[in-house]
Amino acid sequence: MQTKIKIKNFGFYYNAHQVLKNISMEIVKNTITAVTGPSGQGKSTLLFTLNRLWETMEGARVTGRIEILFGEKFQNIYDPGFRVSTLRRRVGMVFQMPNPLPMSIYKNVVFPLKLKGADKQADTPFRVETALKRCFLWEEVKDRLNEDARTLSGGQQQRLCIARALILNPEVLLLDEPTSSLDDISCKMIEELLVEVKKECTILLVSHYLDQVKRIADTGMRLSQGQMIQEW
Amino acid sequence: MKSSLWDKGFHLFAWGCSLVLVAAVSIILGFLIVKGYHTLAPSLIFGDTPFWEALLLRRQVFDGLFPAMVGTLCLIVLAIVFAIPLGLFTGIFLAEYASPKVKWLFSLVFDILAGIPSIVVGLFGFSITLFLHHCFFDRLYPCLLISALSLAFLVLPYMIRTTQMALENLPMDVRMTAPSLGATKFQNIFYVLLPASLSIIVSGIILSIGRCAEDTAVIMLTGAVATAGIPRSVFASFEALPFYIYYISSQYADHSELMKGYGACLVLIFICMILFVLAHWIKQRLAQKLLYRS
Repeated sequence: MQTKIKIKNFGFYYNAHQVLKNISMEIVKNTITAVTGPSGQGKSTLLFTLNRLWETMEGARVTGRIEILFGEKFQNIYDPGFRVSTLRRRVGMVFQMPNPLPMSIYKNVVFPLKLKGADKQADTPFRVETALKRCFLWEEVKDRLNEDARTLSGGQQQRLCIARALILNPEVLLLDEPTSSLDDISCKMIEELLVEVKKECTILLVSHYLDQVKRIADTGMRLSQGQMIQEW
Repeated sequence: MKSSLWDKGFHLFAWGCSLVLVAAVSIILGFLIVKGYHTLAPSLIFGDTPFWEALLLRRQVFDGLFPAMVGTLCLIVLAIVFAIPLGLFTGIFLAEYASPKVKWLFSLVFDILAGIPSIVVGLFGFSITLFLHHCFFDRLYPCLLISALSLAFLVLPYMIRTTQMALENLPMDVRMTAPSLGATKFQNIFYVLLPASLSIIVSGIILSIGRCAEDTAVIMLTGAVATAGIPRSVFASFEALPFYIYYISSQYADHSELMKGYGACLVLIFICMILFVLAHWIKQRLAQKLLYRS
């Protein structure tokens, strides 16, 4: 069991308010770690600290250290020499509400490649197909790839967003309550695909649903009053 | 019961306010159409000059609106071309890059600028021209370029504020999408934030086109004259429809001349409508290009 992420004495402040208090934990490679807890306790914030997305918020600051195993060695993700865009390509994220961009299904999945300047390569269509297949979406959309992504159902949109996050083959995937706006069938599909995805990816999942967490998570954590408690 | 009555009263009042506005616009348009429709003929625009000769600029039009239409169109296009990049990038800077203090200071300055009466902007443009004429370019006089720059200055606050507001009001999930996929700040602005706020930005541009088309105070001090013909260059004086309308309504010699003024109003409204439609069309094309084909 190899450690993928090391969080050491990590604190997060929003102006004067301390949201995360001195959190230390390790996340094992190719597992699903679920974080539960009451609303407003900083579960989403915890995810934002792993891809530095909090840096877009005014008045936020962090203390402590987070290291992620990239290749053979651990990288301090807050190292000034480590580019944030590189980090976010290796640590993908899926939000609570499906957020497809107002463009075609195909363009949505290709978008991260475009940002990287790698969307014109010969294997791009193959990579799109692979990403959509990993999310059990290929069969449903293969004949309508040029249609606006916003015409898909909520569950399909969320799977599209996961496919979009997976096209760069991230090593870590952060999911912020990805099924909270979906029906039972869509939830089940996403749970199944996450179990598949963890074979190649380390997953950190924030969820409200304890039964869901127990079904798919290898490790369960509870965030309460800014502190992390391991439940199993 | 009481609250339901209050609700209905409020609903009725809001409905009434909207109705008053629609009625006012309809009355103004109706009045202009009734007064001016019978003047709408090729002779209103081209006078006695055959229209193809006028369009090919072979013969000058003396007693028609053609030079004023060309002048107005040149003026609007030039002013908008100056104002768009400046307004857009300042708006982007304020929304995405400025620190809170800089944002506060700049916003205050632009709000003050928005409140400056157009006659003062015209006077400022005129003073600048005089200064340049005396100190640097003795062949520079009030002209199309000075008018267009002054008008651009006048509409800049609208452009800046609409761009800034459009970007700042984007929901957090739209704002976070591209960065979470590895986008740099520039990529996020260029690929996601600007296309997502395009329709509001274009509405700011449309508002600016309207302002450029109607403003008389600025141009009467900076280059518009009653009879100049078609402007030969940006350094020439020019005719413009709003100035023509002002001039004819204040100094008309007979009834038919006043009626021509009404005709000119209709032509001005028509030009604005064409420009609005064009702006919408460009918006659609641009959105499609930015989002689907890029």
